[in-house]
Amino acid sequence: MKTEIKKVSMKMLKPEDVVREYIDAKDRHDWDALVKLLDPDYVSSDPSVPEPVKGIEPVRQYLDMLNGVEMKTKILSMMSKDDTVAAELEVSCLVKDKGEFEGHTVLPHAFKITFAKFYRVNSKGLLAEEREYSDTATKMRALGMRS
Amino acid sequence: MDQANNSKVLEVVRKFFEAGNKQDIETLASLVAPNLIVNNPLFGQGNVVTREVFKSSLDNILQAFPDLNMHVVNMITQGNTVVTEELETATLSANGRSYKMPVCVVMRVNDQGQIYETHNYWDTRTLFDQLQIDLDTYSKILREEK
Repeated sequence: MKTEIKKVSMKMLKPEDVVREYIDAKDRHDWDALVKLLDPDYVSSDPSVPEPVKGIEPVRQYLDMLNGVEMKTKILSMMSKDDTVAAELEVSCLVKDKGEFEGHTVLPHAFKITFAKFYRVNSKGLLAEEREYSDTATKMRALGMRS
Repeated sequence: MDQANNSKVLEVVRKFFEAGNKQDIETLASLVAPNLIVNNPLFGQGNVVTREVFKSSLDNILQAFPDLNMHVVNMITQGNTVVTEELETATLSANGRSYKMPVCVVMRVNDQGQIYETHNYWDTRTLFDQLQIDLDTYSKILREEK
């Protein structure tokens, strides 16, 4: 019996490209594109959230919360070593409608915040971990809230 | 920038963290440009600091936090920039309280092998909650450590 081995051509993105696509999908609020880039066991940590967030569903909830916010991320610098990517990001946000964030009223306004992130992309080419370095007080002020 | 220059830039920043953990202010000062651009969440963005002011500020910080330690977790470089992820621990001598906080430091190195810009990303709330102080008290402690 002759067995035919089909070569499957799978183009694996480089870790930096995975992160760029992830940032872009987030800016577009494109959940379908975003979820394809995330490992099911994805973990995210952010100083404004007490415990690391695990799994994909919280990301969907976070994106839903940002529905009324236009976002544009400028990559100030990005570099990588093996599976780890470091980036300095400046995010310009436009809050279009009056809304609520962590129990505070947020009025329509525009603001910019700068922070750094470390990402880990696993051997499957999926984003497995994201660690944010930012100042909660600065974020709260940008949102028009007291910290 | 080629591999050799990348290694040179990385070496400068490695020396900075080593000297910081030894509290060697003279070496730290020798690794920065005469006018260092400092960005951090406490003192704002784009502050230009002379070497003398840098030394004096470090002296205050190290007196306030005599056991300051920066444990480097990741260091990535590209061109003249090094991004470091570190876990910082220290005890505030004024009240004996300690903190443990992840910090990201971005440093840019010039052609003379001097760090000319530093951008520290960390959370002031994480620091102040652990030390059980506020910004005014923190600023006062640093001013008094002379």
